[in-house]
Amino acid sequence: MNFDDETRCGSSTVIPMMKSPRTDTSKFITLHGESYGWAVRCCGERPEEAADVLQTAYLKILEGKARYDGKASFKTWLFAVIRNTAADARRRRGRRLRLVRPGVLPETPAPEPPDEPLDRPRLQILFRQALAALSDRQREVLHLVMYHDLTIEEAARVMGVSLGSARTHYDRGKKRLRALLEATGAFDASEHGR
Amino acid sequence: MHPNTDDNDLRALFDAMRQEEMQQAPTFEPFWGEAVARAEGRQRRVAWMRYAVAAVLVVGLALSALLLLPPREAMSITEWRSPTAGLLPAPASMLDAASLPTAALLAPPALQLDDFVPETQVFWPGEAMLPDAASEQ
Repeated sequence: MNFDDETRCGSSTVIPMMKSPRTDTSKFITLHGESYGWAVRCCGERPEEAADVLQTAYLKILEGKARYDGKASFKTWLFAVIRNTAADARRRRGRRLRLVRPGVLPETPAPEPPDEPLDRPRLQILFRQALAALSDRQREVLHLVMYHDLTIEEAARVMGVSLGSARTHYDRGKKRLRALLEATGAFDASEHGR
Repeated sequence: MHPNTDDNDLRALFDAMRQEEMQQAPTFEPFWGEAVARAEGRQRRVAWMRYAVAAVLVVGLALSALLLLPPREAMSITEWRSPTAGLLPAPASMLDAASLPTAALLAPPALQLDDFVPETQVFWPGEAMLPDAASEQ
């Protein structure tokens, strides 16, 4: 299911949220951090581009081009708007939408499985590298479910795919991520192997 | 539908990532404020553009009317006719000269009565009964 975030107001252009002097921004404020994180993800880990995309998404909402119809949760809707805005921006620049570009991540040599537990920053680097190795869909659904605490159904709505497809991407992505982390020694296969 | 909760190890990694990124996230107000400013600016531009388009249309229509309509020629006072003159037609003007064979009526007839009277002897029957005016005298 796709969210129609391009619904125009018609000839009499109004800015519904701006018309009200007391615009309820509390939901946006609550979700701003996560929205920014999601925008960064949708922009291939480029923060400058993500900032522009998030502001454009807010602009769409302010101008009434994207309207919340209450069919899904506010967060699901907002994330879908951000995702579509990022896709539009990427399309305009003639580039293919990729959530994470492996080249952007810090280059580190393939690590040997360590004998001692990894420290947190090192673990995060390995984790990000493993995430970057996943397919776009797998990475996207894992982010939405595990990072943003959406259900798989909500993630499917944000991504504009069927629930079955989202579930498949989620399961395969999880397995592949776990395998990659075990291969780099970030996870102990005997401890985490499922 | 919530995914199963056996993925605490993965979730822990995502949580750590989120905590790290939340600290780097910019504050909300400048984002929102700039978006509002952009929206207002765009709305103002759209309004001005509409006014400009309307003005251009009006001027264009006026110019095209001036250029396309035929120019009105000056008329002398003797040629002037009242606009309502057509409502008062003169009876003579309703007669079409071509519909009346006036020329044929005015011309002399092709045949005269005299043409049928013999020229040699003029007989007048009453003439014999009349007294001879000469003999009476």
